Amino acid sequence: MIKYANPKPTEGINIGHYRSGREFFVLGASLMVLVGLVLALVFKFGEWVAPHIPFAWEKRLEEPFVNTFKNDKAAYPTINAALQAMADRLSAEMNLADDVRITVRLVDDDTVNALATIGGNIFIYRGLLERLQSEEGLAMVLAHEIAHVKHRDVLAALGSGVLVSIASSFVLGDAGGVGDLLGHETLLAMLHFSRAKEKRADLDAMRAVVGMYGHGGGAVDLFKVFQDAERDAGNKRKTELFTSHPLTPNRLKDLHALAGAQGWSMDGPRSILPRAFSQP
Amino acid sequence: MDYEFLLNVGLIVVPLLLGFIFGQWNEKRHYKSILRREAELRTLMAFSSRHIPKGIEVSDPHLVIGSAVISVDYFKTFLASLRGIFGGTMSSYETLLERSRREAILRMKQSARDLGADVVFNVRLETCPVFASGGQNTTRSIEVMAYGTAIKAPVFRG
Repeated sequence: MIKYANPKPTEGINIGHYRSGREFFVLGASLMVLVGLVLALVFKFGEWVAPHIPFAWEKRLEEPFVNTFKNDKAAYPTINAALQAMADRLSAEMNLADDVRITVRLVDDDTVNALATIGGNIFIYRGLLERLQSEEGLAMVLAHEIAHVKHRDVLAALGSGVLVSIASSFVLGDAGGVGDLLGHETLLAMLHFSRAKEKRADLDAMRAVVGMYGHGGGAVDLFKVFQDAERDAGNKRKTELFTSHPLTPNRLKDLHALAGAQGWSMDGPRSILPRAFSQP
Repeated sequence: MDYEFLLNVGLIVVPLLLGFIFGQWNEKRHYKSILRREAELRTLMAFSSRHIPKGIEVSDPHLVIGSAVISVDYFKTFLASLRGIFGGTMSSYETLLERSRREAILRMKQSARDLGADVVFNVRLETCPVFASGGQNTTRSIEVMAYGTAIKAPVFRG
């Protein structure tokens, strides 16, 4: 007769021999590296493609970005006209492409900042204008923002930002990132440029200011305004806005180095801001 | 650092950690209990053959059922979703399924012993997933049911 039996089976045949903690770290780290790589690729692609997009296309996207600053176009006509005239002179000095046109406007806010956004739109906050003592200092900040437009830094930042948030929401399954893409804070966050881009804009601006006034004193004035404002700022929101133009001590040092190499003076006669800049 | 960020991270890390600690602890405890009871019930044999061997004395056939519902822990669900991206052996679920099968068979055998049976023939296993709630990332649990025909047969009496 057959001998029936139920012997004790060998343990561990049906279960993989593994350590779950290790598997977790290996898989988790691989995933993070992959996501990071994809995002970096997408980001690089945005950077690479931005300078090749016609300015007219960028111009078509400007509306939400301009509206987000809630500036009343009719307000401060004199100041806006004076700012515009100065921007036009700087644009000529900086050899902007023929189709690139800068539009400058004042934002009625105490924030000490200025920024460039899509479509060559530059906004100067009243807080910054009020603190600037010299025309050269104002020229420096305008030239810096114009340089960002010239190099298509804004479009690259926006393009990469949009691509990255679409990619990350796709990977992480969170659609929220795309939803509030056009929110004010997000737009400001996208205006953080890399240190290299800030430096390039600084150097271009210096060149333009020296070309116009014969010396780089405007840069010294501007950085002093930012330093003072940063020191005075008790308000958290305002210090956050500063970060769109981080004030590293190196920035001014780099400009001094450039001036030294080019034989430019970092000091010279300053012109007081024309009255037009303090009238409504 | 901002509190919302900390909260979001905490909401992921804390359940993962709890899942890891309690999941491991539970699994160890469960295996211990399975091994002990399997030894106790080894004399009550179970077979998957459909036919009772001819020529033996048989009486009192009964349907016996054992079922177990066991949940995977949060940590393993998370690990499985990572595994779902890369592919490969889903080891984190294998222990869950094995424990469920062995537990179900043990309960079936226990029920047979309670009836005074000596052996279970025609043992079959059924598995079905049980979801705590819909959605993709819910913690999964499974039910495994083992059933067979328990009989009294002095030949098989250990």
